[in-house]
Amino acid sequence: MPIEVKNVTHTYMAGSSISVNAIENINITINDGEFLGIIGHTGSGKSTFIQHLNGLVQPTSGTITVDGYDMRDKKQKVLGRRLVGMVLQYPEYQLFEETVYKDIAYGPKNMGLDEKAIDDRVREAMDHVGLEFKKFADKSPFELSGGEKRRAAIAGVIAMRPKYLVLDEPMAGLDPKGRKNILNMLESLRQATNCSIIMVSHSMDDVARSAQRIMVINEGKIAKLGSPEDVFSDAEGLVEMGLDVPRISALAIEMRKRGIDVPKNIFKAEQMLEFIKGIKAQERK
Amino acid sequence: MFKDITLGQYYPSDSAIHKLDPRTKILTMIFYIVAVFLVNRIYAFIFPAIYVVSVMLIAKIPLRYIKNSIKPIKWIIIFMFILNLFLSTNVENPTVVFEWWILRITHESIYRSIYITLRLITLVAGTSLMTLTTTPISLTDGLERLLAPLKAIKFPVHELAMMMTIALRFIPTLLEEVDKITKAQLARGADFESGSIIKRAKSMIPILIPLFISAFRRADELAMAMESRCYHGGEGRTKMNVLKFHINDLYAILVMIGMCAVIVVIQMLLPIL
Repeated sequence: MPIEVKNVTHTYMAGSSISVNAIENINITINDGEFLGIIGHTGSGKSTFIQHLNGLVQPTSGTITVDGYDMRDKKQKVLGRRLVGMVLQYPEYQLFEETVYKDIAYGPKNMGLDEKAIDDRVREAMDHVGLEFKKFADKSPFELSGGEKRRAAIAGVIAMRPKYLVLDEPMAGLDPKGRKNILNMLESLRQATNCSIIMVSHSMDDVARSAQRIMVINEGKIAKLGSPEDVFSDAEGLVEMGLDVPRISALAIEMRKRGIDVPKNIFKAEQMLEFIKGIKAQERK
Repeated sequence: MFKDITLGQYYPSDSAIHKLDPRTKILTMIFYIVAVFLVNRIYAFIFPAIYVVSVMLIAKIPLRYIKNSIKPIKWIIIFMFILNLFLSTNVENPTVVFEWWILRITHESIYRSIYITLRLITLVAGTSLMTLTTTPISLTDGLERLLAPLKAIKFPVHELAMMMTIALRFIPTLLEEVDKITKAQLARGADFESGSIIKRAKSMIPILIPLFISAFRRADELAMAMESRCYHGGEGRTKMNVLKFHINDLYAILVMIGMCAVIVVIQMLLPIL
């Protein structure tokens, strides 16, 4: 069963003269096991939107159901929330326990699981994020490096075995290697557990590489929704909205300006390489 | 949960009152408090009341803000009213209105209750005028200048003002942080609302520890940033916006002193109630 978002609008300071629609009339169905990328620039409403998915923020109007649980209902919300794991921006700032083990166990403990089940989940989660159990379990989370902290914090959410994992800019502030690690980890987690991943990102390249479907939010509304091919085929439109495009799309835009007719569907390095090779081959003829 | 906390209720507007020097506003507020304490007849509360309403009108602040400023202390007011109602006054032959067991309400105690209530309301309404029309930053600026003479006895005036400015500046930041951490822990199934008091207090640990850590981190980063811009305390430091008294500041202080005088004289001439 999917997450269904219907006509969701969220207004800040509703009723007052300075009310602002953070998001407006959002409709989307998030399917089981899919990798959805959400892009949009700062203040576009993407963070507000994802916080609706597990009931942290309530819609001003519209409905959200997670596997049939109505997230506006207080009791159903608790059950629905267990299915949706939420990793907010800079999750390492929520670490608080004495050891990495205890911190990761916090979520499962709140679910009321017994010792054995908690232990299983902590080990499994640490394995998923690539933190070696022996080395890290008894360390203080504050002794870890930035990237390790980030992974420990994500493990704390994975340990709840969410069916949907929502991440708000999970790679922000990490170096290229750290970014790649997180992205690979998410992809292998999705394949291993068949969970859905909903990832907000600024980096078009990361989204272009991993997402099966992309949602572009602009000024609180869905500007585009579709496969990466669909979305990035209109690279010029994205630039107009003030968004970045994948580096290869940016290159394609420049090439088109200089009179080279690059096909619209090229946004990955391999595709571009093929295309350039094709041109070269023609020139040789 | 923490969203209701609002500190510094500044109401932005473009008025002569807003443009007054913060030093004037602090001084007139002190005079105002004196004026309210000079009042010893109920009818004389009309003067502070007229003052508050006219300042609000000049400052273009909606009058409902008077109500808002009194709201947080409404329980204190009610408590004081009831307490004074039953407190025997030191008058000979009081006129008893109601008596039961050890509780006794007299004409004098009713008068006293009304008097105390009016004093509290006018005090709070009047002093909140200052925070309504002055940003916290310019307030600390004014305070620094007013306390400047204390430098002679080696009192760290500038440092104190800087500390206040930084503290005020970081209140919204920390509140935002609390909101974020609370959401993150809620998403991990935290429960802050059910259970005994001890359990609820314990459930705050996952919020407080990250909050303290980030507050220390921020303090450290801020200290570093200030030092790298050669901050070394108040000595030889000049202001970007130097405070200046204008003619309006003089008028404001004269109005205030005038009100104190009027209250004293009228009460002498009209010793009724």
